[in-house]
Amino acid sequence: MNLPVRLGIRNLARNRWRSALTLGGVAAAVALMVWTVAFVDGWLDLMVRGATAVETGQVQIHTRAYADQPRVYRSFPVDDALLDGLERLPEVEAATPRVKLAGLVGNERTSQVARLNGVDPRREAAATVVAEGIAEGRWLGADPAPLPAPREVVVGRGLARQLRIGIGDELVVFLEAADGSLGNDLLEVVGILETGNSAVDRSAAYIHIGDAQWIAALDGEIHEIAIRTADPEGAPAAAQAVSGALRQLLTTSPDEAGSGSGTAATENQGQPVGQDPLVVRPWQEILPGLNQILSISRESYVIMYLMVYLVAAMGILNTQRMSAQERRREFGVLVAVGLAPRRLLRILLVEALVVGVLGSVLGGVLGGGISWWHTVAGLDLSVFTDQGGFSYMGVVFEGRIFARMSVAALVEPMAVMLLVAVVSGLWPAWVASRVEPAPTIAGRT
Amino acid sequence: MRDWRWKRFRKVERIPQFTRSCFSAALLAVAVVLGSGGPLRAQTLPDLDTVLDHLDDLYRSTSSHAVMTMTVVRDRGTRELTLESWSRGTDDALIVIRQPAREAGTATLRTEDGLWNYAPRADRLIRIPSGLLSESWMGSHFTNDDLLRETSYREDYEASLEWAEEDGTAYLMVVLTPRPDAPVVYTGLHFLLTPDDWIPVRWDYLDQGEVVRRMTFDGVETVAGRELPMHLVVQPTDAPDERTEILYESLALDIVLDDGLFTRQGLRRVVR
Repeated sequence: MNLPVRLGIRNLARNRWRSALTLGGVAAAVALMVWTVAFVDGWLDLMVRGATAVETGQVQIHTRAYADQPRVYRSFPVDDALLDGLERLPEVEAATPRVKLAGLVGNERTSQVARLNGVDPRREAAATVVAEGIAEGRWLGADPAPLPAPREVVVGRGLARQLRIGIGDELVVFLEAADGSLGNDLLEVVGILETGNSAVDRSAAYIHIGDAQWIAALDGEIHEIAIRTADPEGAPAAAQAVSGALRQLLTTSPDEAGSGSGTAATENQGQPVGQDPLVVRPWQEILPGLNQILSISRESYVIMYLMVYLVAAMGILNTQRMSAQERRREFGVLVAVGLAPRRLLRILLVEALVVGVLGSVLGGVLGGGISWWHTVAGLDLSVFTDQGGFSYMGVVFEGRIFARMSVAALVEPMAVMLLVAVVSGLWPAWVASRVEPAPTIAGRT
Repeated sequence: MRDWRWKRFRKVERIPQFTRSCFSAALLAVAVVLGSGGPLRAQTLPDLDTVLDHLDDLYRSTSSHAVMTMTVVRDRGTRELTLESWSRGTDDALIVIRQPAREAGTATLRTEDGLWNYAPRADRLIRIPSGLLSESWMGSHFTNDDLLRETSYREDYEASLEWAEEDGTAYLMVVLTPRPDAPVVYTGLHFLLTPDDWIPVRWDYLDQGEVVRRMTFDGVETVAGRELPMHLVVQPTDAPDERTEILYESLALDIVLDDGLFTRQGLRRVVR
């Protein structure tokens, strides 16, 4: 080991308190940054998940006209082959078809305009987390009781409260069907939803897709396919893949119909698709507001990160400078006995570097450890609120929030703080290396 | 020959004389009309409350029973419904869809206590919140309020009368402004009536000073001593290709109705 390194380390060891404080400052800043980034990423993930996982999904398919302006008659035909074909894509975890209706839901005493989602219970539960949001009762049954039994409905908690209904109560639905006629039916509440997504909890109700098609006079047609992708961030890419696959699936299915049984129903299926093309959109396009909030959040957090770095840098600069000032006379003696200023500079830089590296590593271990713990076990949100949860952007946050760790989020703060430590050691080192030996030793500066 | 010419001359002379007197008579008549017409009309603006009561009672009187055809024209197609309706006083009303089969039995009931749609498949009533009063009745361009008259022109509006002239014809115009708490979405209503019999001619529904909806009336017939247009057309201004027409097939006024008609049971009896 050469002289500057040996001297630098010895200097650090000489004043342990000072070194420990500087090192602690670097470590604390790194740990704080690592944890903050992990927590913020987890928080933003939760927002995306909360906003998309319950109802929207990460990718949606509609007819172009429906995407423009939803109308009950802007539907398209779908079959299991199409859905299974989509689910075979690597980007797609699950796909669920939906009939989306708006109508009056209620009883003799009171009623409310609600969104009625006609869903396939199994596919919906696979593609979204809505079935996990059942707070009372149960999710729609796999094979509901045949007519004339009332049709099953699962309603959001807010809607149930407004209509003053509970499990087992009747609900009448009344709406304008696709052909302009009036559809109505009797439903029975089998479950109450508390999903944490206020749009769903306040105004949505779920019924079987077949019942919805009957009420709305939509034979075999749907309004929407919602798709769950593995990674919410990768939704735009997944949408492209789905779009390509869809084109293939739709061009092959009329051929099959032609060569196969060729019934009137299957022949009919290809037609409206050709007339009104389907559009595939990722959630970033469907929920532009959320996407904007996310990018604004990310930008504002960058400012926060900069402030953390700045405060840490000031602290390190301060200690480095103090330690250089304190040792002025010593530096004067060293220069007087023939130490080249260049080497003196190098000694001080080694000090800064050692502090920076040790601090970064220590901070990385500390911050990474805490973040990892919060990634695995989550952070109890009751720390922040005495009500057990809170709502932000239509998403209810309650229970635990899980941080998300990534290699970049760990390495970046370490690298940045190392750089900050070295740079803030540079100036005091440079000043110290230019001491005039005689006046400095005499204390006449 | 001379005689003949003279006679002819006299005859010729007499014609201008006759014409002249006719002309003066006409002039006189015009002068009388012009001279007295304006002030006369202004003096005889009818009593506002009487006109408003007349409008509130239009098509329903003390009680009514009607069969009508409703044609809903939308850009996606035309739908024709046969309706049967009853009303009693200003509180009770019932409209039942008779045709087509898919919708037969669908009904709307209004009593003092509120407004309900009857869902025949569910065999249940569903309350229509007052917020939906101005919404479309069963997908037509008529509103729940148009057909079931929840609001009263006399009670829910500030009204005034004035004379209006259109294409040289004089009309009585009722200008209605909803009171602040009235469940009405329009900012103003302009009803054009014939000056003497107050037969509706054209009703304009305004929003921020612009006509957003226009109801026109024709086919006047005499029913129970009053003259009423049997054909109504509603047209939204923003969709000129769309409209809903009502044609009264029959209308009986001031008749005796079953006491229990405007109840859940009464409704069930008539929808079957």
